[in-house]
Amino acid sequence: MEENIKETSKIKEHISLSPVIITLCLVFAVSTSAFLLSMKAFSSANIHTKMEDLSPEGQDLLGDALAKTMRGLTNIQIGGKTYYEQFCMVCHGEQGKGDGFNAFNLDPRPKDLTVVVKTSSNEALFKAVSDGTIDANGRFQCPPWGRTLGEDKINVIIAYIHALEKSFSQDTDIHE
Amino acid sequence: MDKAALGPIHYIWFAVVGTALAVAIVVLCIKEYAREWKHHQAIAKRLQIKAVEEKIKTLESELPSVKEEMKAKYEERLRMTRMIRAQVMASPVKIQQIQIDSLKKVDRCTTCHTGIEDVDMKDQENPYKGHPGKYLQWHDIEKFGCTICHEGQGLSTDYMHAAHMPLRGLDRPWQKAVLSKYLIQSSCGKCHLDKEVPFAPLLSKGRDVIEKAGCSGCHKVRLYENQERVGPSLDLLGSKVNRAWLLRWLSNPREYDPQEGLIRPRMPKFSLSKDQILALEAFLMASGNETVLKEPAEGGDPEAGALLFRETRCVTCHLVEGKGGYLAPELSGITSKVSKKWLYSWIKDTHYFQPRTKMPQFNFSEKQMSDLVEYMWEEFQGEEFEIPKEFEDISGNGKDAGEMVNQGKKIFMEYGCTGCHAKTGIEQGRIAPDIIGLGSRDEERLEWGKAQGVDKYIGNWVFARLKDPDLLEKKAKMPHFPLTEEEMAAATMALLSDTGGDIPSQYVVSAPNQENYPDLPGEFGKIVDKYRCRSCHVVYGKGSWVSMHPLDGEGSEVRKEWLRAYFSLPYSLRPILKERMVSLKMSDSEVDLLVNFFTSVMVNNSIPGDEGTFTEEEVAGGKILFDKYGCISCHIMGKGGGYVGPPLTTVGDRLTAGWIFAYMKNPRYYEPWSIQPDYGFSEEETRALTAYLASCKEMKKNIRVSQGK
Repeated sequence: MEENIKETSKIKEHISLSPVIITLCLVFAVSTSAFLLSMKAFSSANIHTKMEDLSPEGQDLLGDALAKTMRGLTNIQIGGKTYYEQFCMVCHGEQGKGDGFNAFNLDPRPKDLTVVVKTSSNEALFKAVSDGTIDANGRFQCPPWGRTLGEDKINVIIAYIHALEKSFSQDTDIHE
Repeated sequence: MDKAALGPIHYIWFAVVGTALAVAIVVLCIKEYAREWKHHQAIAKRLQIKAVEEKIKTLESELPSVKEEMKAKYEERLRMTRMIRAQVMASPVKIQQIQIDSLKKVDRCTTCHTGIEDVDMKDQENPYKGHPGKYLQWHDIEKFGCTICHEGQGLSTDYMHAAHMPLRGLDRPWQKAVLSKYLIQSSCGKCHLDKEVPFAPLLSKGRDVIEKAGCSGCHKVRLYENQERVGPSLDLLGSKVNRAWLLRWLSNPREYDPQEGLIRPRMPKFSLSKDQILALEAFLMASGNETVLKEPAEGGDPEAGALLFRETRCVTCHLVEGKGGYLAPELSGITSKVSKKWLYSWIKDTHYFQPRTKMPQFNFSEKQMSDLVEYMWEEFQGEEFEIPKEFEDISGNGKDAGEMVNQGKKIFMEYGCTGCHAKTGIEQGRIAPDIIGLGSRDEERLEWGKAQGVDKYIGNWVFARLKDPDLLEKKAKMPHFPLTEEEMAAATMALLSDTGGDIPSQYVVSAPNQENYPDLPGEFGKIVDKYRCRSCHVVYGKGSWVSMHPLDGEGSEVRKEWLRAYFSLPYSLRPILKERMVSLKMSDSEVDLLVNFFTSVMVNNSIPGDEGTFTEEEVAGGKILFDKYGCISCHIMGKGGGYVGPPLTTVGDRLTAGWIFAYMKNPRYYEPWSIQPDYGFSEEETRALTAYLASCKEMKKNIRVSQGK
């Protein structure tokens, strides 16, 4: 018992408390700053840029083929393309220039859609497709498609009309 | 007690370990506090509040200027928007989760993608963006979740572990990464099992390619398990083609008729050695039987044949120098393939040679047949093929004929020719592995062969297989299909849509199965089979949609006299169509039977057949409406008009008034693919238009027709 007390006092003599506290503080400071730095490096904002910089490990055959053949259209626009080709192409033409198969029987000629989209709002386009267009004499030019196609299909067709020019121009960046 | 155990150094160690533990706890706390999704939720909340406040501002500024009667509506809208703002502001920061037991999915994607259902957030960047399109309106997010379509790991709430990017290798966080842009369409095919999937044209196209290429001949493919063989029967091939043609065909089918894509011919190119081709040729030619062929009568008149060829409209299905229909083989150069005797016998007895062909058995007279054969023989003269020299050199190689035939038979079976071609006496199952559940195969376990530079994704594997089977496997048995890049990609996507696993029945959307409709009985059934009506028309639920016009209600639609005339000499109703009704040269008794059957059995009871009366005023009113609605843009009437719909100059001779009325009321009910716009005519308008159209007859007499209801 006595010996023990002796030992303790000996240790007290050997080391004072201050270096322990200093070491503790140092370790704490170093690890905290290391943690904060690493948090910054891996913070959510940075993960994004880092992940997006990740190049695929090899050639993406399927992805490239799809990008090439779909010419940068979105899924919605591709959906619109099907219906455009089914219902609109016969008069407005494949590229929307108003030069479809049936355009030459019509007076006035169908409108060039690539021009129309630049000047009309989506609401106006929707109304034109849905309710049809009427000339000064009250005669229908474009028939009303609202009841046949429904809102959803008309919306995707309009999305495709917006992409017409881009889709057929030669210098479109397909990897966009 | 050991004195050293309490030495000063141990106190230091104790201090270090203690601090490390404390630091670790602090680190964990900070990390938990700074979770990625919390950051995103905070930003999303700010954006949403901003959008709502802008809306409130515009509503407030517009409020004083709106009309009195609209005021209440506006105030209600303002109140609702303010409520939404309060809701957004009060929304707690927490992990969001959608749990769908029947799909075995737990998705926490909405934890970061909080604005996904918010229409106002459509233009924001990811992950704050609202979902584009109307997909979430069609598929309630609470019922479907996210990963059923998008894949990725739904449970994770950090970018990396949710597998947003495709990471390959064994340390990937999740096997299936979030599907990229176009590939998402393949997910539609998990539940949508019909051929045409709305708003997923790539998938629909892919399914079409799978069906046409006949993948199910060799592989077990979902949805196509019971598909018929796509190729012709080879039972009498020996008497059909000559040796030189067959050798060239087996070496490279595309050389004979080079077309882009899966049009014609659909035969893929097998990588066979010269010896194998010779053996296969010996086996196939051994099936020849000259005695079944008949000699055409002498003195056929090619000019009469030419007229008949045009009148019959062979080019509706057949190609001539690359132009015409894509339903049947190219005819130019036919002389280098078959003998005159065979051509004649084929036309005479079509279904004897190919019991399952789509071609009708034309009812030609002897004279017509020899005229036609004479004409085709002169017109479609091809170069005379000689046996290629490289085959000449090794011909036989010392083997006797029987040995060659046996070897050929072995090759025939080994390469799975039986998948597409029937041959009596040879029956075997599918030779290639099942590809059920292909979409969920593990990429790491697949053989990648020479395609090492390729991103190891299952889609690329399937695509590479279709593009060049030798890439993945040395001496692949799979042949090379003549597909365009677009077709390959579409087919790959359709194949990937089968990810195995069970989709609960309440999620599945599928079309009625055509196999449930049997062959038609009786005399009518015999005629339908003889003229192969179902190759183009849907008759009682079964058939092909080459003609967009189902025949089931035809008896109510057209007049008896017109039908009789049309069967005797069909003409093209819609000038724009490529596929036109062929002239079958039916006998009078067959026409009688068909006309009677159509008008008495194939009727739509909702369309009255009795004649009613229309007044002169109604006819005149209809004429004005016809002009007003711009019908002439698409229909020919008199001298002018468009070429989209059928000409209406004499429509009163063709259609019944009841049908005209019913069709104008609801076009798509009677023709599901019709592009006739539904104007939503009123009762009076429809009556007037019906009166006018019914009066458009060659014999301009006053019509008494019924008013259909």
